[in-house]
Amino acid sequence: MKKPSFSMLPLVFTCLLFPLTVWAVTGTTYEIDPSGDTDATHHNVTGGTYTVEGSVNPIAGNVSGSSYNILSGSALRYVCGDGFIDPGESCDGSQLDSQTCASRGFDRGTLTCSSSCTFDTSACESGGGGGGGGGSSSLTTAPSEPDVDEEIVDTEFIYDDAFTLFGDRTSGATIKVDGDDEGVTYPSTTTWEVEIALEYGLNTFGITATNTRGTSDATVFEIYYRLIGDLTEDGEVSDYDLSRFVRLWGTDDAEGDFNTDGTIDDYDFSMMVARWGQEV
Amino acid sequence: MSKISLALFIVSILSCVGSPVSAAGFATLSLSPGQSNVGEGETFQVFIFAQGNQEAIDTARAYISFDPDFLLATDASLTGGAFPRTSPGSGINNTKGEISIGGFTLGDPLDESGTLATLTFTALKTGTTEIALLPNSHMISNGEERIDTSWLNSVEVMIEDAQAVQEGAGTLSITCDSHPDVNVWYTENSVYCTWEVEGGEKAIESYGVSIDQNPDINPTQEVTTATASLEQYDLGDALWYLHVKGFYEDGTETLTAHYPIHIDTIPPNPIFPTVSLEQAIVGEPVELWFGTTDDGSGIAYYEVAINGGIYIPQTSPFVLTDLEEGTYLFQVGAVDYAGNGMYGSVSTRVYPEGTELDRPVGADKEVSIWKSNQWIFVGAGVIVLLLIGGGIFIAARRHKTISQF
Repeated sequence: MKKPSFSMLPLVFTCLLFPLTVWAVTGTTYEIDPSGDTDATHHNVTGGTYTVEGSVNPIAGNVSGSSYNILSGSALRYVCGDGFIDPGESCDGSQLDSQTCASRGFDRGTLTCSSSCTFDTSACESGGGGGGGGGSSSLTTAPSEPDVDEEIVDTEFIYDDAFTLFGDRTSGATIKVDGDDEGVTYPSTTTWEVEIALEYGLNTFGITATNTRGTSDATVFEIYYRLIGDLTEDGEVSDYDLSRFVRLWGTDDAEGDFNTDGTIDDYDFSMMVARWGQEV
Repeated sequence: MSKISLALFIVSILSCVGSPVSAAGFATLSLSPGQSNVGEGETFQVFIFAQGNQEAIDTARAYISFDPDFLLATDASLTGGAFPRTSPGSGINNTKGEISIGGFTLGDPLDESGTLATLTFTALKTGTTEIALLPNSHMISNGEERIDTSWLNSVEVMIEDAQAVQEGAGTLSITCDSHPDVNVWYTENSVYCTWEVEGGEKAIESYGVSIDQNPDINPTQEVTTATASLEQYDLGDALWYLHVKGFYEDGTETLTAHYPIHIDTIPPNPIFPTVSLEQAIVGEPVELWFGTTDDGSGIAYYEVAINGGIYIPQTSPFVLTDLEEGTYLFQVGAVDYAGNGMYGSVSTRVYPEGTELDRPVGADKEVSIWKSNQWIFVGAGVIVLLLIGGGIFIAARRHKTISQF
């Protein structure tokens, strides 16, 4: 039997140890605690004890010139609880995707997000009577005009480019917005909702209900999509808007609450300044 | 239709297309003093007075023009307290000879009289020139224009030869170690300055010294020659002037030296950056919007850092393309001319291609050809109309010429 060659030993050791040395933090204690915040930051381990609190999220980079360079990072994780509604999640933390109890087919209450990033309707209620029974009744007439929920029907303007329309419908009817049922969902047999994209200016939608007996007249819903800061709706952010804005200072008037945090303050002012002179 | 009625019709149509916020009122803006005599090289101030006239003015802006060949605008600051916060879009353009200074109040609007701003100029050469308030200036109440433009005025400035140095007198010069550059804003609010008299045939007996916000004033406080320096602590944020004059034993004096000291210790107002997409797909551009104001020296620049990287100056909107998948934390800083910074942040997440994001219905629809190219179409339409009109005109002239024969 041939004796093993000792000249191969260094190579074997190298192959075994190299993967370990790549990840080693020499001379330090390195501990990762995955339970902290999830903000991505960029850290270097330089001696001593180093604790990374939170998940090590993906990319650290810097800006150079008009572009930027990615320095390091990888392994994006979609985590329930990170505040982003990721694919497969209905909600995340306080991010409810513009949904409310009403848009989920209830009359009132507070919609929350569960720890598994699904809607928690346990605090939603439907008022009084109705309920049960029903089943599939035979359709004898065309559906009536769909209703836009009272929570949103009087909304005159919005500073966002999307809006969730929802309301009631004749049981089982198909809802079309401007003749198209794309994206319309039905939280219950008598409710509907759709998130619509808006263009700057006045947006008008015709909402109809259809069943096998026919199509209802259209319910018309109008909403104005304002450029942030354009309180006067003249298509430009200027001194006139600033003048209107200062009169709302400290209030919770939606007209000047661009970041929808419930208070008109310097943060809203900052958003207006960012768009100063912009025209649409 | 006669030509006159056609003209009246056009005028009436045009008058209907005016700005919806162009309603006039009784509030006024005016410059003071109406006339000013200054020496070449001297610094002087012009005040913008605002008269509310019961119009409850909350926002005001003065547009000013001047001849940059004769004058250098060195400062435009809100003063008087009627409009304590600076509006966006304020600034000085010494190339074009333009100033825009706007202010607003979050307190009681202006019904009576007050000062909007103080402008500081340096006279560059001898001659007569003018500083004028322009008719596009604003006095606004709750979004409505309330200015009476008939009160807008101008200041005539006569620039004469510099004051002659008295015979035998030296030249006084000031140096401030705490604020070495007269054109730079500093966060340091304690002042240390020294001065000396160069040349001259006589001995200085004492100095007159004062520090205030008037660029051209005779110093009042007298100090001995042994004290050729000044230390002043905790000055407020403002453009200050140190004035020093030397007194000789024979009663003559040096010319007064004026030394500007810029102090700004307060950071800009809060900044709240926003992104066009909080969730994007790889390949989609993301716009980062940011802005704020500074009520002292003004915003010098904005800077952006991504995911804890280094800060690089950027302008809004900062468009990021080719973002790889990942979470991006954008930290945005607003830095004023003194170097004070205010910071805010916003995040966006970029998903891999093919990820189905919940986008609102219609968000992906392409902008119509008309909408995306409307100005090209309008321009082409105008050119076509001009060509047709020109063709008709030429044809008519030819026809007329031929018929004359």
